[in-house]
Amino acid sequence: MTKHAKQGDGWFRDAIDRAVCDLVHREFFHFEASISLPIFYSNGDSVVVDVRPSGNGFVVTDSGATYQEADSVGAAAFFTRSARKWAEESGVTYDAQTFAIRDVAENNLAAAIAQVAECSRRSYDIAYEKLCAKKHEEDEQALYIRLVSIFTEKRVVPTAKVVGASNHEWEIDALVMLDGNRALFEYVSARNQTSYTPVAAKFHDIARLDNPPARVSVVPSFEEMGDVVALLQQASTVIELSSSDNKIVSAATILAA
Amino acid sequence: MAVEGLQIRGWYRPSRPDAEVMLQLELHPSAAKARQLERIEWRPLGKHKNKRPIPGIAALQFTGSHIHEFELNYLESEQRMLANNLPNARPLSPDVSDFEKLLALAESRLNVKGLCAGIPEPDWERTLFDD
Repeated sequence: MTKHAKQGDGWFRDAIDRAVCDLVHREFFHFEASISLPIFYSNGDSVVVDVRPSGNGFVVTDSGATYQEADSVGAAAFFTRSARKWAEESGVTYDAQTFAIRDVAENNLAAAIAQVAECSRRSYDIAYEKLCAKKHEEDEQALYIRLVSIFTEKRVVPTAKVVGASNHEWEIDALVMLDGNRALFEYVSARNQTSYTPVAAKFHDIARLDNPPARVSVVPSFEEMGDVVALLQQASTVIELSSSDNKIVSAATILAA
Repeated sequence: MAVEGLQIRGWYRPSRPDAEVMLQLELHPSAAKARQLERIEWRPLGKHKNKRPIPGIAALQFTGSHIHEFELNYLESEQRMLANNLPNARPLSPDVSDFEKLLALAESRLNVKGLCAGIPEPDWERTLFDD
């Protein structure tokens, strides 16, 4: 018989009770309570919601803390848009960079706290995703401008469609028409799977064609991408966005030659 | 030495004297994405949770002052910062007892000279009942 079995289920209930107590934490400051919830931003910090008495009910608010979180990663502009959208859909107000629900009755207090917390976290997450996407778009645009400056506008097709060996049609960031050959350029902005996996998949499929075009993966820097460079290299030439014109030309022609 | 694009960001809540202060060191290069390098959170109202165990830090989740150290958020093998704005932190132990000592800690941790002299105490909304 194990030690736990001999002790009955008291130890188990105690462990669960302690864990449940650790999930939520509250702190009072005069007539304001700050409640830390088991909902976390991507940086690991918990969402905190403040409650104050007001009239016959309560005001539940994030006190602008979510905006500050978004601003600290440079996503304030995106946050303002996502906050308004989510606030409207969640029955929460968003004014002066603050989420709030007013005139909350005591029997609805728990639901209102959860509502503000959920709205805060969702708005932050969307703003952060958009910030990452914007950087990707800017770099894609920078790549297109580089390619046009090297190969001229008439040879560079942005967001071109190419059919791979599987007959699947892939969208490519830029197609460069060379004399008798083609080169495909894809920008990989970040070392996360949603960024590099589609590029690896499409280049592997296109590489299986009988007469495949040159395939070039462009990354912000080798240092930033780490071992993802080796993965992309299996089916493409990998260069940095800051590479010289000569290097870009040779990447475009090396496999197509 | 003045490093191009290096900035300190600070935040506090006027209604919470001697608590909820954040100081963050950031790099804003002219031709690349901004990077957060280190963050100190003094007496925050919320908790912090690390996603995976970190050697020397017993609890995954903790309350109180903590520091999102550069070293905990930098992947040496790949020479890059972790994504998601410094997700790893360790409790600040021992904690600092007042704002002046917080600035002294930040000056030494963030390696930025002149913080103590350059940043005044926040204009907290103190009441007669506060210490």
